[in-house]
Amino acid sequence: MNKSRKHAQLAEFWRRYRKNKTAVLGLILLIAIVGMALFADLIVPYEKCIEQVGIERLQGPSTAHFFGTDEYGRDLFARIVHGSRYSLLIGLATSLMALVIGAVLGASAGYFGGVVDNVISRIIDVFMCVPPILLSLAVVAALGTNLRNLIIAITVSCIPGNVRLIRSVVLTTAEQDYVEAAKSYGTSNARIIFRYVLPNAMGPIIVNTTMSISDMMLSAAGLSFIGMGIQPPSPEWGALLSNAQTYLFSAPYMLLFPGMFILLSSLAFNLVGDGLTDALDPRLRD
Amino acid sequence: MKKALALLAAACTFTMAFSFGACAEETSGKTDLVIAVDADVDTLHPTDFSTTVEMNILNQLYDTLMYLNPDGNHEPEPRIAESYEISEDGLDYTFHLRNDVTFHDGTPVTAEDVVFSIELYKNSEYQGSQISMLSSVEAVDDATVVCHLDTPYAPFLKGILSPYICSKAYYEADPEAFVNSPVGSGPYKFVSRSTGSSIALEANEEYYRGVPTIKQISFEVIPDTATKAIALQTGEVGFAEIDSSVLAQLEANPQITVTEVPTSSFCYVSMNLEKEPFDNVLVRQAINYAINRENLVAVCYDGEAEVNSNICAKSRSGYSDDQLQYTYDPEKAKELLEEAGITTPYNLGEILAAEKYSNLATVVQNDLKAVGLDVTISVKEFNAYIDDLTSGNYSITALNMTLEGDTQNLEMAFITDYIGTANNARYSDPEMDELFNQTRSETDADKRLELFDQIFTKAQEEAIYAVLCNPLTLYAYNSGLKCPEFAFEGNYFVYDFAW
Repeated sequence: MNKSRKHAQLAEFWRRYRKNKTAVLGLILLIAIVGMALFADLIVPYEKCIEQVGIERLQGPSTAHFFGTDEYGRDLFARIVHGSRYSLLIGLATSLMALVIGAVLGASAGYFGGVVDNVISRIIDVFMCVPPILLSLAVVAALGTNLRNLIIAITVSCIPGNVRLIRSVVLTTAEQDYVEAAKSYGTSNARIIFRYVLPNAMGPIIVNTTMSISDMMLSAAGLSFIGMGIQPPSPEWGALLSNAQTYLFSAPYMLLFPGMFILLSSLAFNLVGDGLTDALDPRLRD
Repeated sequence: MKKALALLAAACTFTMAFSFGACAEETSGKTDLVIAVDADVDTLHPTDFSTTVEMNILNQLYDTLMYLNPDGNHEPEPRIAESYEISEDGLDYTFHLRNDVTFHDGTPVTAEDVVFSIELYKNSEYQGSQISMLSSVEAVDDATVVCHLDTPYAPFLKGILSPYICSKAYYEADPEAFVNSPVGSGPYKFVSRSTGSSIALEANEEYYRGVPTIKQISFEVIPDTATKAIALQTGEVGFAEIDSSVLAQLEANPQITVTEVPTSSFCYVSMNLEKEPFDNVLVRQAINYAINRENLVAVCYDGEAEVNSNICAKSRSGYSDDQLQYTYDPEKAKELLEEAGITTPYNLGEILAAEKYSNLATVVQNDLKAVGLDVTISVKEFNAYIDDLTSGNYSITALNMTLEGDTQNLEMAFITDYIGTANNARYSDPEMDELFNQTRSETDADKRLELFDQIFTKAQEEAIYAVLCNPLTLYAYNSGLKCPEFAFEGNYFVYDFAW
């Protein structure tokens, strides 16, 4: 593939993506949220979100505190802005890790078949039996609560689905003529998998990964919500939500804002994922 | 599932905040009462219970020998025993029983039942420690019971008035029913239990102190704080212990009355004295001065706690205003740290926390940072937390503890024997051990108080712990319900309630 062809493909992809208005909206939202995470320190310094001002506790939204303050007198706007870093980091890191591990296992199972497929698939079946949130909980409970373990826990719960998906995509791709051709040249298995099979199976994998980022963020929020997430006083959206529930009646805004951001970012990733599905699916080409 | 968890939580904001409304209700003439409790009971065994909920229910079903009001002059009120005598040497406690007390099954309460109950209590691994110094108990005749001690033990009376009196014959007939459908001699009879949801009791019409006004009690299990608050407001629940986070909401409702009951439970920072720099008294004093207790009470208890840096609660015997009180003074804290040779900012390492105490840790972390001591919070699962705490595998932590009963029980936080259980500071000092030995056998009340004064003065000066406050127990109930004033420590007896 030469450069100009790649460029043309990209232009074609963008042309099709652009036609989907909700997908564009999702992309804009996503860029805004990622921007917020990247430039969090410029928007509001980190100190603001751990600084406790006793006399300003539980204040509603105002010009001094856009989203109000929590029960420690910490600025919720600052906590949400910096919380986006944790939430996005967890979402991206877990999805990428699960993608890499899933790709290796799934591609091996799909490409080699036979015993390899059987061993990998049966192990994955065992993991599939356990509901993902329970699996994460078990891992967190065993390893202890901190950011690293939280990421490991969510990744583990996400791997089985990825392996299944990638295996099935690879199964069909591996039977294509160009793979047969590569085999007849005596190309090594690893080269065939990474050079021919996976790139051609990339469409559904990219879409799945994008969609899973929002699932992972919700997972992290869910785990933080039940107290198995990251350590205080670090802000994380799910933890903010969990903290707010005791003040449901006296300070509902404490729940409203983190909830809204979880919702928006999840929506953004899902819309982008939908857009990618349409844009990458050759059958929908006009 | 994942989505469900987080989105549901977000959705709750919108729906729950607007979906309830209080409705007025005619309460006079009502004879039933619904009490909300946090958790179901594991057992209704009269001695092998361990939770507050279990105790609250057993309090309605069973009577004790006498009732020792923790308030006032501590003069025991007669219950099953009319009167008592303590021998000159402090070794024999004699109780004279009433003759008109019957169990719910109609059989009379005899001295033999009392002996059986006390022995059951003493042998119980859950409660027995309170009367461990009892050597034997005997029924002299049908209405007289004598307890013998080997050595005088000052707080024994408080301990011996704790066992619930239960029927020996009923236990021998069916040990299983003894636990599952208890028969006591108290103002209420056990009716039924639906596991995980409720327990029903009805009035004992034969009760020797007179028939109770409230005829039916239902203990409903409502673990969620917000749900409990709503149930109180709709009138579905008549009485409940509540969390401070819903206090403002309930106080704003004229149909709900909230009562604050002082308790001896204490919230404190425990430092491991076996580890540097906490082995230095100056550092411990500095930490005591560094924490803004008023702010902590506002943040973690919504103001529902009494600021107190003394491990002995203000309503407890042994407390005196002359004992040193630490107040918020960050400048003094910095001076003390300098004197201790600590160059700030100094890294204290991790502050251990359990999920339920993480708010305490968060506030303490903030206050310590202000005087130049940095800590990072490490939250552990509760059982793992307790393991680390009791085995000394920590350097600093913040938690809440209750050592109720006689002031003597505070020895668990100080004496060498309790290192590995409740002496979390791992403090060991022969002088302190000896002082508590003396209060254990000193029968003269004034001398005993003097000894306690020495103990707490010493504890405060050495800043063994950084005690922060005594949380209040909050009871919320329908304003139509008449409840007498709750005593210190806040046990309630539905017998005293009326609509």
